Amino acid sequence: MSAPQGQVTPDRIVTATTLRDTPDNVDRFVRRTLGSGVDHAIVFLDADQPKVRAALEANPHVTVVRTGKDYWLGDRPSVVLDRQMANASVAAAALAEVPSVRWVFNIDGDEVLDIDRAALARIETDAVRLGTLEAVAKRKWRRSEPEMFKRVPSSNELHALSALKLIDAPEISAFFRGHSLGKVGVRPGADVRFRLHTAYRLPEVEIEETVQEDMHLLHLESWCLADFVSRWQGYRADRPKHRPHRDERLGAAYSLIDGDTSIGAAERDKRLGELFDRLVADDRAVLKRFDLQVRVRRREVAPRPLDRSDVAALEAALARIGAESKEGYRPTVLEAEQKAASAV
Amino acid sequence: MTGSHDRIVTVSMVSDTLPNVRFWVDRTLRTGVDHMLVFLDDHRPDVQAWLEQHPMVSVVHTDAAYWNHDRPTPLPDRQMVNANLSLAALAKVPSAGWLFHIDVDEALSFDRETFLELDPRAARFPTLEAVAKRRWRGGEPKYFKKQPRPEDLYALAGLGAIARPDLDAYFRGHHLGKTGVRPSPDVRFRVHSVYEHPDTKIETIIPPDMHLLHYASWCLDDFVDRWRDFRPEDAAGRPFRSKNIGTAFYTLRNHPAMSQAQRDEAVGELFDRNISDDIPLLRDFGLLVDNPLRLDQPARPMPREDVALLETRLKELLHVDKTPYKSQLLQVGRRTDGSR
Repeated sequence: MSAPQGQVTPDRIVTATTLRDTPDNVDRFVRRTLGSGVDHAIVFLDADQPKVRAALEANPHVTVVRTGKDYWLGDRPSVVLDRQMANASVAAAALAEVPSVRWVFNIDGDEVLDIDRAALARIETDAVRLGTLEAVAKRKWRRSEPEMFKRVPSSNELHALSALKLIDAPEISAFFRGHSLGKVGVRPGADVRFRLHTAYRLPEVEIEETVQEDMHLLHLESWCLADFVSRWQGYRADRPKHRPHRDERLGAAYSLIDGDTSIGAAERDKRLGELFDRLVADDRAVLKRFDLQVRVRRREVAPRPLDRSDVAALEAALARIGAESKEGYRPTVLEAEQKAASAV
Repeated sequence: MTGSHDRIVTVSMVSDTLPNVRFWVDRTLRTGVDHMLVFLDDHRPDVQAWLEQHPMVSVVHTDAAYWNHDRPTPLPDRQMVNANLSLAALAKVPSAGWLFHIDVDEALSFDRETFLELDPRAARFPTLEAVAKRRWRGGEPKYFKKQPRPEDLYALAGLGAIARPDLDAYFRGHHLGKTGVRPSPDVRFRVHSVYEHPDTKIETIIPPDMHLLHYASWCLDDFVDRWRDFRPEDAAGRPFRSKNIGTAFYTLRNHPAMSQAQRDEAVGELFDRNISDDIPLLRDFGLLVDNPLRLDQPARPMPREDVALLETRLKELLHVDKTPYKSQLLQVGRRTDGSR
């Protein structure tokens, strides 16, 4: 641990995440992430949430960056996806100055890595790609986390589902609620830029990646009714936020029910439950019959702390880059990713 | 030209199993058809041997030499060359009166005597399509579907029985039927009509109560037969519906996580959700007709010398350049509605 700089074998795994959520949800995210094999989490706080910030700052395995006016310097991207990509790129650049860090992953608050530290340590390329598994959505799960996940079906399987009228079209967006492109982890670098599902080196150089079939990006979004409700709480249909069409439809339905003052709380919950059943919940018999679900046993691994000097280096780098213009950290956008983001 | 000109002949391009071909030939020769010309589209020695020994069938094996190593890729192009070649071969056969181009999943439903009294050069038999049901007793569908009126289509679509208010959503296949014509070397077939070379219309009547019966996927076994050899990787260029059902069929029939019984059940569901007809609803709409197929009009063999003449002509035509026998087929997009 105390090997002099230059001799250390980098092995630490770090995540970069842009968050704006309730204290409970943030707490859950942090515990989930730091139990999954991740050693350190960088959280970019997208809103002024002093309570959340205090809780995060108290955790030695978390580094918090408040992305307020001083951070965006008057040039805050209006679309959250753009802020996420810029923040992750800032993290990749800052982590280049932290000798022990081998991997940085760009994950969302509703995502968790299903990784194997030892296998990650053996990878020789500068990037690794993890495919998406999406949580099976069910009103209530016995545990506090989902265990069953949907895998990405083949094109032939999507045709079978659509011809049996089980999905609307032979397309992944008719089967998954969210993205299916997975996420990449990369070796940190000042010139690394994250897109949503890919990464590259400046000016526009592809990073060689290893595709890791036995590791995954678990996407939890709306995995149970409570999570669905907390995702949509406060959504205002009259303030569109560049969300995909499917989301806008769901959000509009949610806010119609949520904002209906003519019904009581019990009736409201009943209707939200019905909305969940109709538009979100998965048909588990179908998933089982066509072998489309997998059980993911979550590893409970303790984080390996970063050296004090590494934490200091990280914080110094973040403070420095945090004060710079973010223009250079915003990636060029891939049409395919943009298309996928608006299709789901 | 002398001769009876009263024999009804069919021409077909075949690539099917021996049991299916046998069943179809036996049936066709009881429906009023007197002689059959069969062009084998692939190498099936058992089918060829059985057809060759049949006195009322003339067979041509369309191998590479037949096509002069220039075999047209689209199936309708090959069908039309075969049918046009047959018109040329039959033109000098005294007893040959009519030639119809039919497929292996089709049959002619007509009264032979009435038909032979008709005078025109060409006659079109509109389609009646078999009502599809998992199993029918007796090897024949009990009902066929009539051509609906536009208002029926709107009502059926409104009830969710068909996806859209159009004939392509109501019928599984074509609805224009098939056209028969008096053989002559100048005549050319299109899939559903005829014309005179190079591009002159031929007056065509639609005789009452005469139909082309289309069986395509009339029962589950027939559906399975139809899709058995489909491979998703070869589906490029097919219409969406065909690609979707074919790929689903292939995937379910080979699903690694399912037992054989589960796969069969899934294929049955595929049939139920995409093919099977709602019989009570069709009855309410007055769109059902009892199976009109007549099996009481046995073939009247052509005179022996006519068969010999026909087969000599076919031999002469076997290796000629097929280009002059190609039809001007309508391009996709300009194709008449209802042509599949």
